[in-house]
Amino acid sequence: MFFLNKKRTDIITQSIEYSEDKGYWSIVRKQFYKNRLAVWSLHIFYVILFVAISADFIANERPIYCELDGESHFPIFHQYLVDLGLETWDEKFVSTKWLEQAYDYAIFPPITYSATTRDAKNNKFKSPFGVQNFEEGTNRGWHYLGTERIGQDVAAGMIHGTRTAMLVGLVAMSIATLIGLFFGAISGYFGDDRLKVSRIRIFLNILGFILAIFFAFITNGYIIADLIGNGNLLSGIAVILAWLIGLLVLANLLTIPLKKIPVFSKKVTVALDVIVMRFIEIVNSIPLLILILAIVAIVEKPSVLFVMVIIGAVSWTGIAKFIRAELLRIRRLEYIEAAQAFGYSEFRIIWRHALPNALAPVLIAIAFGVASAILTEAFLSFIGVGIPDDQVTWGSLLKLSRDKFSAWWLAIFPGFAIFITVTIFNLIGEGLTEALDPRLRE
Amino acid sequence: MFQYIIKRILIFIPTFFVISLLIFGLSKMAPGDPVLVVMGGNDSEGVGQRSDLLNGEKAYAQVAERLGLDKPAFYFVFTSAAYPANLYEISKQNHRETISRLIDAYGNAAAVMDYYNTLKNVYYKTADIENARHSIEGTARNCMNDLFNEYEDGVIMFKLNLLKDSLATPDNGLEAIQGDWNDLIEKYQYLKDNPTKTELYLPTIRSYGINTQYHTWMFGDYPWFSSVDSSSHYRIEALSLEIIDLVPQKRSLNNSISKLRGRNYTIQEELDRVGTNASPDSLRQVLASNEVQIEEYLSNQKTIQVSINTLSAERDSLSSNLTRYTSKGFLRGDFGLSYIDRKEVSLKLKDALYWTLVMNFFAILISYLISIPLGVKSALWKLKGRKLIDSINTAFLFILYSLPNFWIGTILLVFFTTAEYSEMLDWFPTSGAQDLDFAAHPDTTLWMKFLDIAHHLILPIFCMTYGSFAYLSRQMRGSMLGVIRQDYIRTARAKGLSERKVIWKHAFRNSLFPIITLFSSIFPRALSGSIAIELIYAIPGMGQLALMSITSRDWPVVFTIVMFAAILTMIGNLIADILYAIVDPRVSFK
Repeated sequence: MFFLNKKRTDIITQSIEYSEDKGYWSIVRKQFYKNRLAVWSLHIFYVILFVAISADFIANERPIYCELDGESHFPIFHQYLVDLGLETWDEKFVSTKWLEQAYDYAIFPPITYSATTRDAKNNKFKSPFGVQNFEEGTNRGWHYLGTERIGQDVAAGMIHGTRTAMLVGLVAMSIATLIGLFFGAISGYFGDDRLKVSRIRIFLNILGFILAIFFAFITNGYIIADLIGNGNLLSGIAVILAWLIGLLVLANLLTIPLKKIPVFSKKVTVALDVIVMRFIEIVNSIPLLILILAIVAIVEKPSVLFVMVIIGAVSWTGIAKFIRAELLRIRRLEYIEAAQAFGYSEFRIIWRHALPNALAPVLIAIAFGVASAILTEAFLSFIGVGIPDDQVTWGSLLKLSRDKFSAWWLAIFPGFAIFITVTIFNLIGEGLTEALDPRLRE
Repeated sequence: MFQYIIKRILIFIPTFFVISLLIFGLSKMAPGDPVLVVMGGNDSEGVGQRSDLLNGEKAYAQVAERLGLDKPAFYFVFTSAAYPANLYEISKQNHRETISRLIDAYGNAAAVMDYYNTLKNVYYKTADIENARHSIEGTARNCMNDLFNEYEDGVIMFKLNLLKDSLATPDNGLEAIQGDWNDLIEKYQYLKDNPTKTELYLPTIRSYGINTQYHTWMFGDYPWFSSVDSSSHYRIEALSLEIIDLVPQKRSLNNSISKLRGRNYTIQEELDRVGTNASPDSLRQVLASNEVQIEEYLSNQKTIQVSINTLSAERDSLSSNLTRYTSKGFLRGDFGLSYIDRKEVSLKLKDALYWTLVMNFFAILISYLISIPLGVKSALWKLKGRKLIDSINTAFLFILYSLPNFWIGTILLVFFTTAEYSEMLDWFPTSGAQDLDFAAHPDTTLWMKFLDIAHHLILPIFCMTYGSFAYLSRQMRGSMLGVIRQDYIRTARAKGLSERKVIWKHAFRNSLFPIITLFSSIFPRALSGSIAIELIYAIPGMGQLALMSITSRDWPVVFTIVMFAAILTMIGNLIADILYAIVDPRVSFK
């Protein structure tokens, strides 16, 4: 269904080609669908995404549905409620292992292990094709991809590793896209000459920014440090952003009455483009991988979330450059002038009129960016920095193969998963590049 | 254009300082107390007499001074009015942390300092008391040590009351500090009752002048233009050596004296017990001669003590006049000492850099040598419509490009370095950069040396090469295809130039531009790319050094490497920009 033969693809392509829609995006889609490899990759991406989302139902030591002592249970769903703190487990589930319960009837996931389930009978690197020991009366299934030293199932680890990889790729790139869109948009749209701001507004904004830094990092520094140290990275960031946004809004509100004073209201041109480009240049001068290593090593409590945020926070420059280049072109177009003539606010013009037409090239940067974020995460867990020890990821499974050379399944499968994922994102990126390249368009 | 290059270099300098600030900030956020790491992690907390405590603190302060940590962190600090300006003078990091946490909670710096100083006084006073009941003394020391680290109200109150109750028990021997302890509790209560939290919201800027940690790290505190007068250094070292020689002599004299005294004591006892026994005279003789010996030893000991005193007086006077220098500074090539083995960071880097440079030199050379011709060739295949070979080549390059090098490295390591799978596959050594110990076998020829190293490095160099080779080839192919579509190529063909000339003289030269810009990303990529490979093949290069320093929290090494990588990236960018400007006349320099 996913991997169409040439004939089917051609039919789809033709149906897209002859569709009535002549908009920009439909042309891009048409171009993209001509590249069969890229379309395949997109479909494999859907499969991987599906695996990532439903990882709990593919590899889990809990049954999906079971009847025990005449009662029906849905343990996997129940686990979600327990994680949210809404429910608790019955005593019998806590005292006996899931796989050793005597169920009347049970539907297990295809892989009957969670990523961290230890199968003591099959520890010390059991090969998928070799002898595996199973006790009578348990619900344990075959280890399709073998086990590692402490008896954790490699297949289950791979399935749950998919989730980590996808999360890292998508979250990190979302962060990078947000930052990149912001900086790219303001530097491209305003350029060096278009941002004319009254003196008082510049002054108050700088003051507000400094005060926000002061209140967030000095007055409340320990609160934020404790939040981040306890793993509540998001709340820490939220506190910082709250101060920043609050004070900047206050500064801009204060501007409105103060602007009436003639000395303050004189307009000054801000060379925004130069400032942003200099900033990007500095970020680009930092060797990202080593910086990530250093930052991640400083954090005392490693977590995947932190890795995502760091990768996102350092890899936005490419997107910003793309957006800037597009907006430098778009801002000279007539329809932008028309919008300005209507008296729309600059924010509205950027957000509603300029940005939507600049987004297409960003997709390329995002596709390649996801690939490199996934690769970075795999690399970090491969060298064992920044990912918690009990988190099973593709990189951490691959790392285990260095402990025992005869365990070929640990060297082959996780690495292959990394390779496939990186490849499909690169292929999607390639396909988008071709689809968006006006030189290649007939 | 000259102006452009000058401008480019001028931009380089502020960027460098911004990055150095970033890295300095990171190093200040690094967890753990560097002084304790250097001291080997043993802090003499709360054991021994007052003099022991003082000595422990002195040793701590000395290490802190040698590391340059006794200075304020930066030229100025943007902070709230609540924090006192001289907080950095408290030498122990955990005390400093506790104080600033308390200030953060209550805002009243004077009261916090009062509380801290009282606590410290009680601490010393407790150390002075000798015959306290053991259990109470233990409680007291534990409580105080905890209080030095505690900033949460509940815990502090618990500890304060715990010791208060213990002190109230009869006959504990610690009655002397009971009053001080109640005083301390009052001070803490005062602190809690008089918070001045508004001060926390008042921003202030404090300047600390030039003698700061950042300045010492970056520029050093050695004089720049005059050489340092090191004669007193040598004199101090010589004096210390002499003292070190004398101390055991004194100690052995001490031992002999106490031995003789013991012997005399037994003789005396014997004499007393026996009374008029057989040969008391001979015993008395021994006794007398021993007394004489003791006298002599005592006088010897006295002279030794006197000379030790004079020597140490001279040493102290010299060292009090001496200006101590912490570092020559990063800019003069002094990167500090490694926390772990006290080796100079620059020496460690030099050893590691050798292997990384060797591997990357070959990796970069090979990938450029193959990729440029292959890129041109594959572009020609596409143009000439040789579909099969073109698509095979593109797919091959694409797969190579997407293969993570740490995966390929692991696979090659697993399958081709041991006889685990088949005797036939044990081709390469498993780890290390060389087997032969060249220093131990001076007769190894250069050829054998080369063979040995090559045998070890083939797999790592392969892993480092293929990715960049595929990337470069794809870039080259892409830019060649882009150039060939240009009008001037059509013009060249129309002029009747031979195809060879069109390709190599017109198209090839212009398609080199992207490859030149890629040159900038090579240095940092080489450094970070070698981390995984060096880890897999256990090659003692920069990547492995970086990783090992990160896991063992050896921050001077880590931040020096980050700094180096940043400088290399910037230099790469600079070179690429300048090369681009030189090669491509269309680039405008405004």
